[in-house]
Amino acid sequence: MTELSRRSFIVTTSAAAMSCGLASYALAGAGEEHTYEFMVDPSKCIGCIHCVKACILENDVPEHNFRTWIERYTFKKDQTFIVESPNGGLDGFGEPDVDPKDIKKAVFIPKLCNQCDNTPCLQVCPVGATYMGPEGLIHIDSEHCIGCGYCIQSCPYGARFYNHETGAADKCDWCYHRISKGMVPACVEVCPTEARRFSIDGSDPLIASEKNEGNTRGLRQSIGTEPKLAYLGLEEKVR
Amino acid sequence: MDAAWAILMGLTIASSIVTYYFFRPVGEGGPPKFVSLEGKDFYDRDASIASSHTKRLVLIIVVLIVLAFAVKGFLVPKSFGQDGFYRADALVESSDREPRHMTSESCGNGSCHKYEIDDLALGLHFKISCISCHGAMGHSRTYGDVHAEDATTMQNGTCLECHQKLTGRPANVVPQVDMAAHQREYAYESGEGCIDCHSKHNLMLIDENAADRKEGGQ
Repeated sequence: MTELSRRSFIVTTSAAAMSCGLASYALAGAGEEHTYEFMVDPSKCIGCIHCVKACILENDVPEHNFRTWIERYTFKKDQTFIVESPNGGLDGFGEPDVDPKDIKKAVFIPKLCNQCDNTPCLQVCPVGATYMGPEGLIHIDSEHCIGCGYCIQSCPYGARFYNHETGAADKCDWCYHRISKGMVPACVEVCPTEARRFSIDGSDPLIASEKNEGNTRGLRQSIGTEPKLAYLGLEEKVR
Repeated sequence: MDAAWAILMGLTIASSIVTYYFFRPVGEGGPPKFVSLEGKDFYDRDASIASSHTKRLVLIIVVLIVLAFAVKGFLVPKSFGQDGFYRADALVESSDREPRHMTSESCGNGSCHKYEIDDLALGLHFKISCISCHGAMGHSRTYGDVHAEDATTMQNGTCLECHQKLTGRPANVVPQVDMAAHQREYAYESGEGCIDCHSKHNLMLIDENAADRKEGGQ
């Protein structure tokens, strides 16, 4: 008698709990979702830093922090290379500290959050302040973030920083407040040479076609983070 | 909502524990209530004390569990866990922010800058949006409202951000200029700006004076 009632009690309560969970799951997330694609063409980047300035203005990025920045890779003839990014590029690149005769090639590489599909920053967040939205982008809940900095250390691309004004981790979210309204990110809007291209639901067919032809690759693909940000015709040594 | 749910869960767990405690089978691992000695049943005082102490202990545990769930209900933010292990409202908040860098269409809307935009379309800069050179009007943290001033007092530096000769800058993308060599070649006065020869928006055109000077005139 008692054995039976105990079992039935457990069964009933667990069934009730499960149906509660299912109901809340069914009610959630009925918004429209879009496909966002971002492609960077380093061969078109002229290092004008308009994107970096626009990003700082658009997103209130504190001084000496960057959601996007420009690096210059100078490849020398002896197979070595140097990377420069003076204050994210804001201080001006000038000429590299290399004999011009030794330079084989130099290229500007715009950097920003790669929006990885298998991202380490998401895995280390202890409070769920870094999360993947329904569209696959990685966002930061700056109100919920406790500023522990695990994610900043875990990002292999150095895309994250500690924002001293909000007391939270911060990074590029591909200007989610713009792309969710159908605009392109601020850096893409100001880019004078179309080195940065953005597509909402396939609005820029070139990105999809370059991806399909296998001309693009992500940064550091070997580490398995599966970055969504595509670089067109990227030099092998760029990481 | 969350708090109510937490209290409900707490009560459920508590009631299941209490139910089990009172209706558990006597003798199957539980403490015996009576002991037999020389054919007579005696009330086991120690067992009775142990039983009442256990009751108190269980009560404390139940209260603590309920309290923990209630506190958790208050501390976990609203909408957390609705779509996943995050605050669902945060996504709405981050998409609600107002954009600051507008498109060129918004500059030409109401035909405020229709002339400039039509002019731009004639030249090589036709793909470049207004804010790429002029900045996001009125949103500069450093300069305040730049709509009135910076927009019309652009210096050579604005042009040279893109057109200064620089290592790594691809020559097939932008024409580049070494200002010293440029001045030697075209023999203009050092005070003159880029736009004194090159037109502002329709960048295909070069002022006639520049052509004259190259041929040694003026």
